[in-house]
Amino acid sequence: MSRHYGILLSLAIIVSMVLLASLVLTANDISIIPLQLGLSELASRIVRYSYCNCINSSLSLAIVNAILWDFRGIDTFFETTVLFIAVIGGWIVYKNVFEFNRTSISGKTYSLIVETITKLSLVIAFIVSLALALNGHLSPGGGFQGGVLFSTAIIVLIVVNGLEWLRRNLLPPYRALSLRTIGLLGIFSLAFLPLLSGLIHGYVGFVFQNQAKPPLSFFNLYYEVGGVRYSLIILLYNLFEYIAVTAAFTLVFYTIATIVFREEQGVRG
Amino acid sequence: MDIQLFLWNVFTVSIIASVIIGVLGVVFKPNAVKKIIALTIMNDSICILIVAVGYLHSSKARPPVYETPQASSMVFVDPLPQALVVTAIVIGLALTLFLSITVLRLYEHLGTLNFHRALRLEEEAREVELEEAGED
Repeated sequence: MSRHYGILLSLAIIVSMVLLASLVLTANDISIIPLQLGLSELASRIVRYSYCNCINSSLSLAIVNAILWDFRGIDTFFETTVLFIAVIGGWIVYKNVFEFNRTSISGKTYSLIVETITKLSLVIAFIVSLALALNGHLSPGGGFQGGVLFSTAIIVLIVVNGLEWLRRNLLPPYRALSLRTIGLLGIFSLAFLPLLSGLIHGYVGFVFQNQAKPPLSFFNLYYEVGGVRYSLIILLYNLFEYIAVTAAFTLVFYTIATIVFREEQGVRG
Repeated sequence: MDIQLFLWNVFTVSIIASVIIGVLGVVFKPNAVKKIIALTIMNDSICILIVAVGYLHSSKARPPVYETPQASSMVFVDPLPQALVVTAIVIGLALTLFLSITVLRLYEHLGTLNFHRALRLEEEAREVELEEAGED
């Protein structure tokens, strides 16, 4: 009981210190992060560039996605690589323990209704997450978000139907690994596509280039709906990112579920 | 006193307080899982701090998404910090994944999550080794 009083006391001390510090700051008319009343020049340029019906534009309605794939494409590629390396590292630690015979993690088998509904909801989750990934350049969302959404459906599937079902019918761990590599290689080769096209046709091409930069480069990849142009290459980047992230998280869930299995069976490495 | 400035200061100071709590947790908690939790708290607080830099104090400010291709006179918040934070979240996720799998492996190997106990076990093992070497 005294332990709880200690936690409450420290909480009260922290809250009162925060309030006191902000009172002192306000009395001296200081703010740690300045309150902005208008956009800076850089930000308004980015907002203008990311979608306009002009020559130099990123052709993506979602500005954050335009920044991620057009302005900072190399950053995003290496961020995906970091996730890739983390997943591979975790998988290597538990590489040779993919042995499971039981139907579900906790040893219980769920009823047929629950199993069937889980499989059905996997289809729904696939459609919703694919839409989230493919609409990445038009609305909030993107490849990473879609992949995470689909992989949450996969973790429910592992809990209900068991790892063995997932491995036999949907995605064995080795295939997940190769899908992961395909996604990353897709991003990599799309990044070098403008450069190659420039070399072939005799103009300048940039790595991670989105749309044409008229005096220098004429590489253009867009689709048109009702007379309005949208970037196609950001859509493809989001698709490959979706594949990569889904496969990566499936691999992580294989690893963690295997650890849970071993703990339950009393195996010590 | 300006009440808006006061609330803004409460917001920023409390985020900084949670960053400090995260750092203290990483340094002083001996349990490995609690260290990971504190690291996550620190990471996410810093992400919120970065997003707060892009905050626009205006009633017309919107999330940075064009609703239709024609609407060009809309006012958006600064999209650049949000794009930075997306990267930071993914990196933090990768870090948490790798750390938790490593800690699970450590638990399987040593049977404890407490770093103090793990170090003591290692010292005992070394002493036993030294004694055995002395006997030879």
